[in-house]
Amino acid sequence: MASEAHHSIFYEPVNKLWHWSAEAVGLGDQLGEVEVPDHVVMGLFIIALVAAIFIPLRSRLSLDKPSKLQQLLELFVEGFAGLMEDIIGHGAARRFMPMVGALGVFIFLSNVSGLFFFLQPPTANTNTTFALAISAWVFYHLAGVRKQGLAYFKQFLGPLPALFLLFIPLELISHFARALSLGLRLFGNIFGEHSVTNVFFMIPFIVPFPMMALGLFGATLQTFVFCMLTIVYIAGAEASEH
Amino acid sequence: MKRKAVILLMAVLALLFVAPVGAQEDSDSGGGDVDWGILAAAFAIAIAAAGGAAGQAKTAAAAVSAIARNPGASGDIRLAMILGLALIESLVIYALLIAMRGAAFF
Repeated sequence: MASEAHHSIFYEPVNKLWHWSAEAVGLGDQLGEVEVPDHVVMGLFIIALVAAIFIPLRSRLSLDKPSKLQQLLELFVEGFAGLMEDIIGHGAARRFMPMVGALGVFIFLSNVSGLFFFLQPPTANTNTTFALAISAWVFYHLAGVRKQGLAYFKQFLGPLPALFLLFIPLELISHFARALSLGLRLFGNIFGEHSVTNVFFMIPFIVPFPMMALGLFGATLQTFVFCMLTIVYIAGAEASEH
Repeated sequence: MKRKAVILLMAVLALLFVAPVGAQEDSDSGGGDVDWGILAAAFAIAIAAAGGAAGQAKTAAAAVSAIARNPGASGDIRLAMILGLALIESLVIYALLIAMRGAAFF
């Protein structure tokens, strides 16, 4: 559909740079047809944007006179920290805020970039969403192993160890389904909203705006759901005393 | 009892709507220019949306009555409701993805 051909404004420059550097290194023949895809370009742009916002902010953090951005971010940090303390347990916010916060910030900015005509949402591509989902999935397993050691894998045997032949595939499938659903949920929502907004843009002026409002709401909601599910999975991995 | 009558009536109406499709097929030359992909996609997403809406309706209704009974817990209830709604919606989104595939959207 329309969204296939439409690239962000960063696509051309980055690909020109890529081809130039491939030529300069001498790999022009082998890498000539390889194009840096738009979702990779947009992903890199969002990382650069986040770095540009947050790194200067870090040096200007202040207890007495916080800037507006700092106050806004403190709201979100407190919100997520409260959630984590509630669901995972005491001291969890300190340990898991970096990962959950990074996921939240990246996913939110990626989703919202679908509302700008010169950007494309990287999360409208299955590659990005499954990368995020797999990262969250590996992370919660690592959190479980870090908390419980290798005894973490005993939970796959199920409540009755005698029935382990039945429970191992069941548990494995349910865990893989978590990764799949995390990725597909985010992809489906953002890609669907992006496609519908593209269709609505054919009628100019006021008509796209309700869809874009829905897009903004969906972007926030999907970020929240992704982070919330990651927190719940971490809690499940850490606890798991059946 | 009344709900069963309504559902039966809607099923009959749906069958009435399907009948003209048969007429359409006869008038085509050479066994059908019917786009089965889009037809299947329409049914898939309609059924998924109906099921999803029913589930979400129950969730929202339960959340509202819980808040009415215990306004102090409204923060936790709202959180649980949002999470439940998003999880149910994700099932509808899976059906939407398959329907888009069938309608040759991507």
